[in-house]
Amino acid sequence: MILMAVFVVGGSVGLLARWPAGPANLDWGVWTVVYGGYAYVVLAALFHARTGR
Amino acid sequence: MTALYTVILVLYFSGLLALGAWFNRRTKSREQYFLARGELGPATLGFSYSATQMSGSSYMGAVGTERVLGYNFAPGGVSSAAAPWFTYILLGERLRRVASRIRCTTIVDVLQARYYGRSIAIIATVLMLAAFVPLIAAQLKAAANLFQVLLGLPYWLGLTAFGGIVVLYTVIGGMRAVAWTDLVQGAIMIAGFAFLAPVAVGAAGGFGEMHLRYAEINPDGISFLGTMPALWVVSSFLVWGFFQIGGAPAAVTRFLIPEDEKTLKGALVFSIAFSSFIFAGSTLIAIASAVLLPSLEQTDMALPALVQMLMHPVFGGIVVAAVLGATMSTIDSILLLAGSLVVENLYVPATGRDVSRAAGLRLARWTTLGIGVLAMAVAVDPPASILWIVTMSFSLMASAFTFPLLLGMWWPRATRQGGIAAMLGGGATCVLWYVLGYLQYGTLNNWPGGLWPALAGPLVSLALLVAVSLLSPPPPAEVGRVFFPDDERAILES
Repeated sequence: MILMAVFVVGGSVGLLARWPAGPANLDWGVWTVVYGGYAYVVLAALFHARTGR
Repeated sequence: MTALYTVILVLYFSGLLALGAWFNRRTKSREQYFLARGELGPATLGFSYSATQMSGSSYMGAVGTERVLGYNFAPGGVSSAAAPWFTYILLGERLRRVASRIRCTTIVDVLQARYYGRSIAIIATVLMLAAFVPLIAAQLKAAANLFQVLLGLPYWLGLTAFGGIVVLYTVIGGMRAVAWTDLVQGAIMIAGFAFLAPVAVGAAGGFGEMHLRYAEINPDGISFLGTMPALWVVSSFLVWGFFQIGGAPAAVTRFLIPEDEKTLKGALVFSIAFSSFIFAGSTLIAIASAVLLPSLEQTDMALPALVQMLMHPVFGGIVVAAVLGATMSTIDSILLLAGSLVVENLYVPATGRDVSRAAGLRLARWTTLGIGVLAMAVAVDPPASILWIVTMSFSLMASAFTFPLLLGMWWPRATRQGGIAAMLGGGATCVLWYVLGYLQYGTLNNWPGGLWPALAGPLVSLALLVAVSLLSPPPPAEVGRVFFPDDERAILES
């Protein structure tokens, strides 16, 4: 539930922030919320499956 | 090229029918046909969950929309990839335990047991069936359009061939055929995107250059807050994630199948990894298609157009099979659930007959066939847009079922009166929100304040569920014993 709260609240705040330019002609917001978001949910699922928490 | 595509698709369809026939011989009862309890492993369950959730619109509609909205749409993709995580953890394990206690076959059986009455089962069944037929018809339309574009077949022929295959293997094989074909289709989806995404990005100039060129074409689409209001972005984040709990009952039905917790947790990892791969890939393909095909007018056709432009016909055929697989895996699950609702929650209780195993199995198959044929008839002259038809059906179910299901599993005080008010009030608010949007903007795609109906409906549903439950007498003790045994109650109270 904590992991979900981080995902929802962090992601929503991240959507509204103004982010500086980042690599590959994208801003850091896209890197953090979109591509970081995919990595986060996969790792969170693995964590839950392995630890049961 | 067309001949090669046809050969690949004929091989693919033959394989699916063979799987259906294989499981046909091993299905002995109605419960086994509709649910296959304890007979699926983590990979089959996980792929089946996510492949059911991802429709043909995930490919064609979403790729078409993403090429227009760019990264404004991406939070919807991330939330869709995270959707299994919400549903598995908030709902899955509790639903699995309850299902094994009451030995139910459908998700409506669970609602009926939790809200202790037939009335809620009838309301839920009617709402779901009202949403399912257009949903299946929209998927059939997507597939028939693909046949039209890629194989040059008339729309009706594509519809008949595709619809006939998917209805047939679902009717003969039941849940085990559906789940195993979902696994195969999921693997083909991964293979299809694994081929197409790097080729498309490379053709668009590489990852960095592609974004530079896309920003020149669509400057608003290269970050989050371009053309769409902030509230739309946040709404989509919640709608595509959290509200999948109620919005995707065919996928949620998978939680009734496993008999142990380990299988469910393993399935979660398969679901999340699969969804993340597909949605990340679809974003890249969409942006590449905007760069490579800037003048394409029919945006829903971006994916097949890109396939024709870039892929060798053999690999192109695999991508086409992947798109069709996504569509099939959604249709078969919804079709099977619709059949189970009619048989288990309408026919058998209404007639009060004690149906034998053989007669029950026949009844299940004929009913599933009837619903499939009805949906094909609707798809003959379907509405214009794919994605929004699916979204409207989804919004209605998310509004009606998310909180009755969620609070039904977590809040012992939820009552039958509260459940009924939540379902009817949530569903009505959703429809009203679409109507208000239409009156204000002249379209079903824009709503008051940018707030999605799939967000407005569940909020009203939640308020009604809590208020009406607190104003009505507590549920009977039997409900507490089944849904909140002492150990779980202690955890909740602590």
